[in-house]
Amino acid sequence: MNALIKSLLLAGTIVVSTSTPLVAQELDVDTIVHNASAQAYYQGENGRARAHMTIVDAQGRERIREFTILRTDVGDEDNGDQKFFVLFSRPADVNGTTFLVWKNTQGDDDRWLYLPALDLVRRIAASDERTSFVGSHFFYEDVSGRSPLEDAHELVETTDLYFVVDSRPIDTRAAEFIRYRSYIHRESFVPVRIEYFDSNDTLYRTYSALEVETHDGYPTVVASEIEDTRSGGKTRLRFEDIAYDIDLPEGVFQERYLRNPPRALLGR
Amino acid sequence: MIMRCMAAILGLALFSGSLGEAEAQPPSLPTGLSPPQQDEPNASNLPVLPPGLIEAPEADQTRSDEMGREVSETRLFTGLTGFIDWRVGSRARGNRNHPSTIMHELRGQVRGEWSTPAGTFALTTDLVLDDVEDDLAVNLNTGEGFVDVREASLLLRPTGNLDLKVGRQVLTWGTGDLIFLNDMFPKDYVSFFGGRDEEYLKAPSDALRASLFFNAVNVEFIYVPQFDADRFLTGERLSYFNPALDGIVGPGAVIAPTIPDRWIQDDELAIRLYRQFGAFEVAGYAYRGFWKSPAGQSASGTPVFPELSVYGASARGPVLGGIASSEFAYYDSMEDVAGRSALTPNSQLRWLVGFEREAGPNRTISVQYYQERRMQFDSWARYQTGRVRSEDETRHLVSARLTQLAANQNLTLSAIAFWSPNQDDLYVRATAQFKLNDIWRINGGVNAFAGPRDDGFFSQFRDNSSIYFGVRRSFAT
Repeated sequence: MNALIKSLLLAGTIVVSTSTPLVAQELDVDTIVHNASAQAYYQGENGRARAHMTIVDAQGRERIREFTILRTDVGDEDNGDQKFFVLFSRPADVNGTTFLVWKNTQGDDDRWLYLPALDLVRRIAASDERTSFVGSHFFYEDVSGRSPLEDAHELVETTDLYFVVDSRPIDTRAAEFIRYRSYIHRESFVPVRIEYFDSNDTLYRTYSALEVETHDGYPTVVASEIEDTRSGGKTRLRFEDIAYDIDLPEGVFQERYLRNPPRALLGR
Repeated sequence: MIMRCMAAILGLALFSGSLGEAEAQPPSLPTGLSPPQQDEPNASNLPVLPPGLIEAPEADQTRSDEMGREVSETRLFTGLTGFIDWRVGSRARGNRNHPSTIMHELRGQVRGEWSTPAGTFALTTDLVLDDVEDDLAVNLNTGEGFVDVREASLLLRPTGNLDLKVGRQVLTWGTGDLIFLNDMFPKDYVSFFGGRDEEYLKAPSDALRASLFFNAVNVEFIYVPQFDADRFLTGERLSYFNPALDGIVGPGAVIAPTIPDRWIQDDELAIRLYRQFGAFEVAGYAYRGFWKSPAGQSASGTPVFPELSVYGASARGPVLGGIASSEFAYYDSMEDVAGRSALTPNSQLRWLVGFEREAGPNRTISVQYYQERRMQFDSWARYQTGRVRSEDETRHLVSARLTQLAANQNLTLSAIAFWSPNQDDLYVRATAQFKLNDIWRINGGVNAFAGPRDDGFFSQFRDNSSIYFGVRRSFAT
């Protein structure tokens, strides 16, 4: 049913592109959050993008990360399990390093890292999703998505443009925030801003969608930013060479391609 | 944007007001600081819609028909990357066999990859100015001299389920952390103990690697037409225990073995069968070749590499919130006859178990237990002329590692300690690496060996305990 509503809404936004306030107001908060998560992380059955990260530290110094991501949704199910393949190209010292994630909505993710200089496939023992991804202000969870089931959601307000949703972690020990507030665009379900509040209910971390493009029919955030006042600085993430529903066999997400990346699938 | 600035000024005014008198000129907020936000949203708190959502989504920025072309437009050459690395290492204390400088070199590495739909050629070459080694003659097998080719390989995918990689390449498999059971590919212990980066622990092989992928099981064949020995400790650069001389020796007693080097006759074959059951990886291994270090002696006393076959298996997967691994290997010493030769190593049973898990933000801990058991020890010991330590029938080894990332993951601190309770010796490897930016990196480390025995596996190297420091500049074209 949720999927049906979502596809109707998506069809509406893409084809007619007018707001559908009557339908929207009938949505309960869990559906809104589900749709927003599906919009941000599960569009299409799979996808590819080249990512360019600019990390600016508290002193204003810049570092660059470039990588290509392949993603597939296991069983093409929104908000279900996913597999990710990442090929790093910059900075130079990580060129050729590959990273494989099997994201499990139930339980810890499985992660493998391949170091080409050693021809070594390492298994990564990491359960904390809220640690920095490649030294940036993005957490693993910001890149691969946070399951809507991990939080209790409350619709705070519905404005002309946004659903304003407060989410509080069900397992408070597994998160460094007590709540986060999402401004979800009503037409597209794109989360435009997410604000994270610490135990004093002080805002310390903000995600902002900066630019949206439509690729293969899917509105896609191509530029975004996370700013963190505790560590200082911010990271800007830009996606290029975006493609959805490519011919991507699930066999790509295996050790074979960790050692020898599927170059033809990785695009330009 | 104006809204946000106003909110910032408003928030700042409120904040400074609560502190007492407002400054005439409030300091501007540093980069990255946002004003305190109100709990309840108001008009100024709402985000501005980003471009792309403001109006009706425009026509697709990509269309499906473009995609096929994009995919085939893979670049032939992805540019060169590499580094220049200077490092210096010093022994911790005086050594009667060697000078205090254990490492002093300038190394440049260039990596390149050329891809076509048919295949990929990869080249990685090091140029080395080594102040410790006098001999500049190039030997690509031992890595001596001013050129060390790490990789020169061609990868082909002739059919959908076959990868062929031909040429010089670094090869690794198995589950141990710095302990290799079924990985019979050459190691460079001179580099590893001398203060080079961990990637130099693996020496390259000249090999044909055929990987076949099936649903039931994946199979890898690695054929090495000419035996690749480890780059083992010969006494030239690092001192070691020589049983014939019953002492720790150096350049005065350099090991000069007879290395099997006939093409095709002195070859190596390694096979791995592996598959996953869910998140668990299971593998079986077989190897036919030679002991990788000169483990035997000829009748005339020359160190030799006796023939060896290895059979083993491993498993690795998520357990108790971490990664558990286990591996065993049976080393079948082919030239040994029921342990009746003092000159040939016994067959051995080797196994390990390991566990690694996250222990806080950016912190990982791991532990390993490893055992090495000689199969016909009593018989072998009877034929020994020198003294034999009975506890060496079984060698136990315990290791623990702590890795901590800090400073936005730009600082990596890692230390691993190996301790053998029965040989009573210790090896500690601690490294620190700091990335100043995307180009410059500094690193340093310690290789420390300790133990009372001259002939312990690690304690024989105690005169080589050293610290090192390096600077690296990376580049990319």
